[in-house]
Amino acid sequence: MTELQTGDKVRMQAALEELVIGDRIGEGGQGTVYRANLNGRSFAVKWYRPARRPADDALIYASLAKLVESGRPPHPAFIWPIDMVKAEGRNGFGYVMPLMDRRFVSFAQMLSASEPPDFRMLIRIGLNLVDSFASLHTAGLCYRDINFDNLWVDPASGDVAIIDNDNVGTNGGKALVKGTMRFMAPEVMRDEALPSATTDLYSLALFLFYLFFFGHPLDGELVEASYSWDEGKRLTEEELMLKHFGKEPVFVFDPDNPVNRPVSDSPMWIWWSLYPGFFKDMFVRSFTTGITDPNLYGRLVEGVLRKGLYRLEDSIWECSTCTARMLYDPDDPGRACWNCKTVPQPPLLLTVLGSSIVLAEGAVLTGRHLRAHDLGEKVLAQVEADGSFPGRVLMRNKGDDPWTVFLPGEEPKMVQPKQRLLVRPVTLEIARKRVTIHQAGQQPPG
Amino acid sequence: MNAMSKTIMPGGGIARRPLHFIILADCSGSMRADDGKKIQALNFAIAEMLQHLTAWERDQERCDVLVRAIAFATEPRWHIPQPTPVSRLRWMPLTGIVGGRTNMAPAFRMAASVLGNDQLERRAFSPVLLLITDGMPTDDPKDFDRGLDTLMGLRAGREAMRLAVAIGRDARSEALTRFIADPQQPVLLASSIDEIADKLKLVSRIVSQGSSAAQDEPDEGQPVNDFDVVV
Ligand SMILES: Nc1ncnc2c1ncn2[C@@H]1O[C@H](COP(=O)(O)OP(=O)(O)OP(=O)(O)O)[C@@H](O)[C@H]1O
Repeated sequence: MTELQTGDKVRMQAALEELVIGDRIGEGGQGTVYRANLNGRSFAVKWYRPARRPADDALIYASLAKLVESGRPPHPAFIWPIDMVKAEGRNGFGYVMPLMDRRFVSFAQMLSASEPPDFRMLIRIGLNLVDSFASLHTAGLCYRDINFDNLWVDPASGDVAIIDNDNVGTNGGKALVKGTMRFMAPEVMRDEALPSATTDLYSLALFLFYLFFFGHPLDGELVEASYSWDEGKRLTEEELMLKHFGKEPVFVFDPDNPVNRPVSDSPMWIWWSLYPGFFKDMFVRSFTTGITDPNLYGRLVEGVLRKGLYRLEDSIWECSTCTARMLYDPDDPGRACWNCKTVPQPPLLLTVLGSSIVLAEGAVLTGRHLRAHDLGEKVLAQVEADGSFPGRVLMRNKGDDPWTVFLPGEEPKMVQPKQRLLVRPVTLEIARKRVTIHQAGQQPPG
Repeated sequence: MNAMSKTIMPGGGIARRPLHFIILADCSGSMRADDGKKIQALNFAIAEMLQHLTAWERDQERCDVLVRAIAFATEPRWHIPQPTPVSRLRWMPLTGIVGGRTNMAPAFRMAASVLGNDQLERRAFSPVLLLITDGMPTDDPKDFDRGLDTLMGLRAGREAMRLAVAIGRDARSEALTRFIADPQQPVLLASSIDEIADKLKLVSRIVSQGSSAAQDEPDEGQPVNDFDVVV
């Protein structure tokens, strides 16, 4: 018997504490995960089935022990192995890790909910994913198996949880796991490369594509045409994936090659129509040159993804006719609303140091926008709506210092901390940086 | 920009492909045995399985699980004729039919009648067929073979994941093993119905998502210890 039963005891190998095994949570490829209890606190224990080749057991153990020793990367998303465990009088081993909080749900559940998250939340989640993998990659490690089973999300806070870290290894090291086919970099699928941080970047971009566009970036008409129930014609699921996601991948929105557009009823169509060009370009690059140039030049590194997500956050606005959530695209200002099909009134933009923020409810100005490194991500201004000013927005001073507002032909005014400015085209000084507010499509004042 | 207004975002979830799940439920007279305990066990097992399936469907991004059910005895009939999303399904309990025989072949043919090449969506996954019975077919053996052949003659029938759940102690029969036609796949007991969702997970792993295991053997000339092994 290598399976554990409720009530069995396992011993932590370094801490020497004893854990009591509780319910079985689930089963994976190599083992079973159980709830476990240590002095009234809950943990999770993954217990391994014997590997097909006994020599692998020792390797698995050694690599897990290494992860325990190196400790969790700085980002809190990782549900990292805490210690190895063994059971007295029994072969086999496992590891103990934190129990994932109940607030986390699968990405599949969140994205299929009747009220999916709004753009601000999608972006926050995207940034958390990017930051967590950046912290792993910076540590010289790679994850290897990004997929819908292993990444979890708290839809209320946008926090993410990453489980199944037993796949983590040294960047470029050989591994027993190549990944999950649908998420694997084509060169890994074709057995031309081993999983690495570079191939993680492909899988991360693919996961982000799912998050923002609600479909698989290579799954379009070409794949559809390959399905068949006719004898002799039907490819197995594995052959299909190898062909369309590995050997002959074509991005569904490849600007130069329209053969693999999403099928007509795909949700990807509407989502693609919503995003500004600069954001879509990141994915075009990921799934065109990112496929033909499978290296760090072709792939989008976390810093680039992060910048794109920040910029997208600054583009959020809503339709002035129907209030549907929209994203402002400075290169396509006359775009009609996806929901009511009218062309909304252009938004007010706040421009500082060459970048612009759409002044819609919820928008924030942070130290990052002002390149004030001492202020970091600190929120300096937040845009609010107020029923007393219908159709207008206000900007609250969330910082510690007053703003100066310059009005043509008038004395400068001050906006003290906690005060609000009724937003209109003006020039301001915030944290010694010059900030302008102007109508999109018009020249900033003075 | 009214704080009270509802967030208007496109909905509709992720693009998924249909996974047809067809239950073949035994409602023969023998299922009435033991004060109807067997048929109760069947209803209970199916209701429980549907809950696991719903949870499984919720947490993956590939399949829309669509359920149909055939109740069979001397003759089969559709208990759930329309492919119904598993999350919306309410299982209406079945009852055993007095004097009803356990004719499986007509049930196989009925399942086959909806699995033809032009009846399944092209993008559908290979279906799942679940036979749940106390195990002893009463068909004429030749007819049993012909019924099974009809099903297995279809690509979708042959490639289906075929599972059998035995109700009662003496339910493992050669008929079930032949229906499953996969030595890796044992006949399940009603008490272990929760394994079905796990099995689907494995199917979606191995068949649908592709194998996640890397090459089994290390490269030639590469000592095993050089592997940065990760499970
Ligand atoms: N720390 C944890 N807390 C709560 N649930 C967990 C935890 N770790 C894993 N699980 C759950 O246990 C189940 C099995 O986990 P495991 O990581 O072994 O699955 P897997 O992804 O199938 O594994 P593998 O990729 O190794 O085959 C999953 O359903 C997962 O949701």
